[in-house]
Amino acid sequence: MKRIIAALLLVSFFFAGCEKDDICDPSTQTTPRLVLEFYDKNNVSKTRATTFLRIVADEFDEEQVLLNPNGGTTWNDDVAYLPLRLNQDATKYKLTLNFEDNDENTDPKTDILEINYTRNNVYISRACGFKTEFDLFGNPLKDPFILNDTPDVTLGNWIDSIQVLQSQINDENEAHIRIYF
Amino acid sequence: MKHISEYTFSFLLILCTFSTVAQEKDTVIVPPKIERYGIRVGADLSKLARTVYDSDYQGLELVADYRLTKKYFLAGELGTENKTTDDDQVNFTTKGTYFKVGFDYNTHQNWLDLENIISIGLRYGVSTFSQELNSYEIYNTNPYFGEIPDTEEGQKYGGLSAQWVEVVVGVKTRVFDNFFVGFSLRANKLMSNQKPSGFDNLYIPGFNRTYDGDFGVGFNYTVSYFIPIYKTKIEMKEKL
Repeated sequence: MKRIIAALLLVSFFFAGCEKDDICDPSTQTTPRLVLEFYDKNNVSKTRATTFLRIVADEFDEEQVLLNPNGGTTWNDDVAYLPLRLNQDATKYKLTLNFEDNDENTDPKTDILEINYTRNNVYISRACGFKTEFDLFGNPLKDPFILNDTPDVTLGNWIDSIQVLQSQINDENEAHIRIYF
Repeated sequence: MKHISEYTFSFLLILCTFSTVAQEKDTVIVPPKIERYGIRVGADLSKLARTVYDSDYQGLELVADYRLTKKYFLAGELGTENKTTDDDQVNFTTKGTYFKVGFDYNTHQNWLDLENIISIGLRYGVSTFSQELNSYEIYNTNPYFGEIPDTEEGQKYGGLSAQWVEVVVGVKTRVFDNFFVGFSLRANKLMSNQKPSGFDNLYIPGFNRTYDGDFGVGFNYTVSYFIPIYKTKIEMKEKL
């Protein structure tokens, strides 16, 4: 009998190190967003924070804005995170600068940014399932970005130029696209 | 009064002589303890039952052991499983067969001709199997464009294998004739696990559900039949 108790104890120690694995840990990198980085067109080595940048998907109603990380309706930072569509190979956003500015001299200016990519679903774990990774250069027939529906033009209403930094969108650690304005 | 005490005394005396005679007889007629050796074969009832009530599961496990010495049994299990697992994020079907071999050590000292077993043992398990990913969900913490439906897949990953070690704690008892019922609990640790590229072995036939580490658990509930091959007699030493 003592031997059996010893064996059961051994077995229970065996499992003491186990962890619950059916809840997806929030720190796990799941489906990433496109990370935009804003730079100053007059000083290309310096980041520049956007002023009252409102982001809405092109097909969406005006009210369905993409909220910033603090829950606000406009983005006032030198980075922005854009979710991409997981059931299409293109996502279009309307980016409006100075949306809430009351200053008469700074009118709101809107550029439409279309992002083209290919998708790849990658297994993560039992709890998290799969994530989608994107490749901006995945489709050789499509430019990774198109501004205001006119290919080969990078000068927009407020955007000066766009540069792809990282075509593989696997995580949100580094910026994928840099926008000068 | 004197008469009564005399009678009582003589009665007690007679009683004592009888009892000593009886005691002497007992020590003489101790039956030799018979130990039976042979093969026990059976099946896991829990897997059969689950096959009946769970439409996502089909399984069969045959068990056998052979008594090597008074305490040691060579033991093994042979099984097949076809299980569809429906988790929150993934739905997949695992099909395969497995084989486990090892030993059981009986820690139980039986009375007379009882043949009960309380054992601890070890097994080495091997399984070959396939995984079919039926559907999955894409984990997206930013559902700005809404939730998208589960992705139907149907990708099959074949030719997979795994090996593991099990610690087994079990009991077996003879219910009638040569029929035994048994129950065992198992703690498993993976030794090797050939994972498919692009997916994982979330279930391994014989090993059961895998966890983040290498550990797993299992149990079985068996009914088995003992086929005697030979007997040994152990003469009891005379006492007194």
